[in-house]
Amino acid sequence: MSLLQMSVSASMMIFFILLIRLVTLNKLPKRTFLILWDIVLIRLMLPLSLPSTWSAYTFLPKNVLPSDRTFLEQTPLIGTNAAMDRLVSHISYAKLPEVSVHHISILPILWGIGCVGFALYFVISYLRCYREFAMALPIEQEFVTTWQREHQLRRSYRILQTDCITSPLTYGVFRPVILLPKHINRNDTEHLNYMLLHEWTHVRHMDALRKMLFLAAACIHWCNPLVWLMFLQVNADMEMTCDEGVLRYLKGDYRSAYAMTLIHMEERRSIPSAMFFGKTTTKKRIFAIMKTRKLSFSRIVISAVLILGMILCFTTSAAAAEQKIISPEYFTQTNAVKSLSGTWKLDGAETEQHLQHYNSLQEMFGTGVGAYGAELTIQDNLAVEFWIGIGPVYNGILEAQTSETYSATVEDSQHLVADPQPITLYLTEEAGTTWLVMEFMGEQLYWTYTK
Amino acid sequence: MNMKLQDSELKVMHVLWREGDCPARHIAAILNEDVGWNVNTTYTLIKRCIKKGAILRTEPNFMCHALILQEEVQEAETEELINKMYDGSADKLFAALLGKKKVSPEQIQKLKDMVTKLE
Repeated sequence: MSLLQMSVSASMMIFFILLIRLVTLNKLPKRTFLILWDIVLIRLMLPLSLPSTWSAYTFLPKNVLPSDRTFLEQTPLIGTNAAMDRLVSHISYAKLPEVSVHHISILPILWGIGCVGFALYFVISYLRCYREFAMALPIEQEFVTTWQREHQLRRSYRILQTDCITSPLTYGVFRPVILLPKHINRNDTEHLNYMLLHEWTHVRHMDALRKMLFLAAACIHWCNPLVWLMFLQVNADMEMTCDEGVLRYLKGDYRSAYAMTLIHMEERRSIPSAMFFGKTTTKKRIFAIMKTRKLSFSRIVISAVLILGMILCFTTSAAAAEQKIISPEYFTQTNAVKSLSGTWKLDGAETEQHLQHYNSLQEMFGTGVGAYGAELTIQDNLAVEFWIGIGPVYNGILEAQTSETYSATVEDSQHLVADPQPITLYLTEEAGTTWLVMEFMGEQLYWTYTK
Repeated sequence: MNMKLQDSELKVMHVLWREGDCPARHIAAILNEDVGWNVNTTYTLIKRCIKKGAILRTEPNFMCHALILQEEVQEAETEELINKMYDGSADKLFAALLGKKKVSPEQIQKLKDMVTKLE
């Protein structure tokens, strides 16, 4: 699977998720959307696909091909996303003909520069913030120490304070840290509890890791604006899933109290960075919080259906569906017939190279083909007609001998020359060109396709 | 003294005040033990303090010397606290401190002695 394929397929997924989001608003648990985004992330980062007849890609047109591709290149694609391949090759072939002229094509280099550029930006801004956060001091407050003891996780984490920030945040994947701003009211333990619970839930959900992975995906697929859109949405959804998580943890209806804490905090970001948690439109979050409902069975079922649907439709390829239609024999038969039909011209030079008994075409046909040419026409129904030089027009009907060779007995329709002659036709490829070889009069004649 | 020291820088200064002149790696070792900072973090902070004029560095061994006194910082911070939170009135701060806890007889005696000295 190529990068472009992954990007295109992920774009379709993103579009649908955004659509679903618009329609369901606050009716589904936000966790659902996070799981859906995770699936998109896997698609963006891993070039895997599973064959299935249910794939959304079966609806893509199968013959999306550039017109002058030679027929022999239509090899059956087994185990890959055939329709996707064709769609992508059509796009890239149609739009970038000039670029591949040079041996070093520019586009991958441009992509690489963009990718590295974005990655550097994020890494550097993260490191700068990290340096500041490393100078945080421990909190000597009993409430906090007790709180930490009561809320343990498998990973050990620290709660520290610093005067560099104005609202709480968390960072770190392996050794998470919850950072509290210095100037908060230590005595307001209710607010403190909610703030700690929020950051603690972020740690529990491994959101720091998730954010990093999505950022990596955005760097790789930086050319795709939908991926950036997804990144913004993922951040918002992570925050809202976190809010949801807190409220679920606090059994009982604490929605108003929790919302009040948010308003109270009036989260402001002091360090510009995409790597940490803090600013999301507070209004949207409060709205979502107040509308949070209990996990009902129907909601879970709908979410599960959506998630399964997303996995089935988009992460699988249409390969199996295509394989039903494209079996090797059938393929070679029909396409070979198609490839034979048309008008062909004799290539004198090539033919003369292959002559075994005669010394030249002139000798073979009396007049040579130079001034008079030679033409061969094959119809779709395998009727064949040809003339060479000033010779007679021969007609016949081709019959398949094997999947690749056809033969006929051709007659001179004007009955000027003697007997019907046998001919055998087959396609061959030499030195990158396709030839129709005609065995006639004991020699091999090489014809090239004209139309 | 017109420099504003951040919390983390003050922490470094506290160690320096407590230990007296000592090499930077000694401060780093203490802080690593105390608050868990790694050596690079402490060194960055010491360099910031040097830049702000709070610490003087002498060679050999990156010896650190405190250029400001703890008392100076305490005074400046208290001044700021009074101005910010107590309307610039030291009395109010005083009253708040006394009103908060019960004052022990020893502390009352000490206060009396301080007042006598000032008179």
